[in-house]
Amino acid sequence: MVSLTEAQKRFHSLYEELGKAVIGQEGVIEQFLIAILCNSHALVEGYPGLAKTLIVKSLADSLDLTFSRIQGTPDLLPSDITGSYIIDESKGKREFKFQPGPVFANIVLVDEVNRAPPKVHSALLEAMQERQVTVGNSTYKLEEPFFVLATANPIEQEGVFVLPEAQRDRFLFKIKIGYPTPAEELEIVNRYTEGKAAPQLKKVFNKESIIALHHLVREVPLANDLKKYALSIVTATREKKNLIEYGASPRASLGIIMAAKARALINGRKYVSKEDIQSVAYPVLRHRIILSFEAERQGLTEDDVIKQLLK
Amino acid sequence: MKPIHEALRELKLFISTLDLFNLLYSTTFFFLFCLFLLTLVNLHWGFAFLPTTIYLVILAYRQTKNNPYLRTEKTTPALHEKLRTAVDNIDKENEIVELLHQEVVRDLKKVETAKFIDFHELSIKTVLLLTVSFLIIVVSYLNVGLDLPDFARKAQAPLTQLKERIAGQDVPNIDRNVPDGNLTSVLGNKSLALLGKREIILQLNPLQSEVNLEDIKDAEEKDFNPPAYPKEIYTSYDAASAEQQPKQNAKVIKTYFQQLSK
Repeated sequence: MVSLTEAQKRFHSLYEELGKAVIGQEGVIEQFLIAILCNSHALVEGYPGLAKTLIVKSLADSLDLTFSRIQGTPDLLPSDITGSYIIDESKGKREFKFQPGPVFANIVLVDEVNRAPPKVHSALLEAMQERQVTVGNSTYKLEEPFFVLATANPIEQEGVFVLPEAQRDRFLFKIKIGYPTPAEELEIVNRYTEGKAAPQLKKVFNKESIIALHHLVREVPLANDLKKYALSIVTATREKKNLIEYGASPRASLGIIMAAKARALINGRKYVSKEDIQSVAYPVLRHRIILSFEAERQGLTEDDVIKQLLK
Repeated sequence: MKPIHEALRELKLFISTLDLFNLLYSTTFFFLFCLFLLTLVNLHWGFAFLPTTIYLVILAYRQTKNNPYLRTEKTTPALHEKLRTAVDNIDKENEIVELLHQEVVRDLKKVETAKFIDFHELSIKTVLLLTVSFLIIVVSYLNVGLDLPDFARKAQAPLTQLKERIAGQDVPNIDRNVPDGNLTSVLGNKSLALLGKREIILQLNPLQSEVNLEDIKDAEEKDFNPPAYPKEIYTSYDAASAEQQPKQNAKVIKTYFQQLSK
């Protein structure tokens, strides 16, 4: 069991360790951590070359979790990610043996998930939701903690299978990765062009402590009026008909509250603040609302509309 | 009892006491203001209790709606969002809530009680209270007062006149010019006016009267034939205009009048 004080110290160390490998992107790292602490998953949208894989790999190293990567392609099959039965002859006789796929890891990065066909989406979403994989007649439990990070490239829209709304709803966050600042970019260039070996990161947490943190997050108290505030944001998405065609589901309310608690814990607070709720409202809601024609006509993005809701 | 329970009870008691003082102060001011208005219009001072009671109830209701913890958070930034969270989760028992309660108890010591009193508002209320009290004394001493029923009557008169004019009723033109000189014929004898409501006995003295009551006789029948009017006054027949018309035009005229009558 990790105590609050212990957790706060370790989060501080975690940021220090990640800082050795990743320059800038503190907000993105925080959102990844929140999604992991909420025992949920995240969609990531960002242009290529913004250190998505590096962040996730570094996180997996620091958290002492197993990591695997799946590249989404149009010919990808569900068995490519879940695993399949192979003939095992090692014991002198032929028998089928289950060979686990890349989904059997603690942190799974699915690159360009929108290139994979819907069958793969379906298999992946079963793994995300049920924390299990069904191959043939057998069902295999996935090891806890289990965190899927699916990336989507926003600039290529041909030959892709866009995730349906119902499947997008399973992701706690949609994280947007932006470009680094010029100073950060200079630091990236200096660090990775001087021939130094990739930094070795210390293991700050382990599987047991991450599972303990899942429980600790739920214990973070929240004031009643802030709880109502969080719910009012979600219900407002269903009422703002002029800008939002389809609002967020109750899963968004759960997501905001849990994510706000996790953020408070990461920032070393024993209570959830209004700022926590406002901060997590963007990644929780942006993939759960569908903008109306009027919003698109005005050139508004999901974040612009959420900003209006938070006012 | 947990320290957080005790600390919150103490905080609530302090804020309630302060609210009660504020309530009494505001109500006193309101009562005096009502009293001042009633003194001006010459109505009984007891009527001031009615609006004051209503005001007291409204104010008390509004004060009960005020969250004392939110007010404390406003005055003490260290407790921002922390205090209400601790209050809302007071019965929960886990490590984080326990730590939060300890932190809140520690931060409650930073609460400055003086910040709960709005000295600017209190000064304005005090000045107004003194002003109204002074005005009440002055108005009572000088017996300044408006006769409200009379004022209402006077105020209503032009309206009544206007209504009558609109309704088309004639309003009598009253000559308000008072003649110069002896006004006895208009106002009466001054000596009589001085009587007031005292009884006066009037008696006619038959000796001083110009009428001889003994000469009065019964009415007698009088014959007016032959006519009593003078001979110079007589009547004669005159020819009607129709008779002087030429006979050949008679038919035309008759037809004309017949057509006219139709």
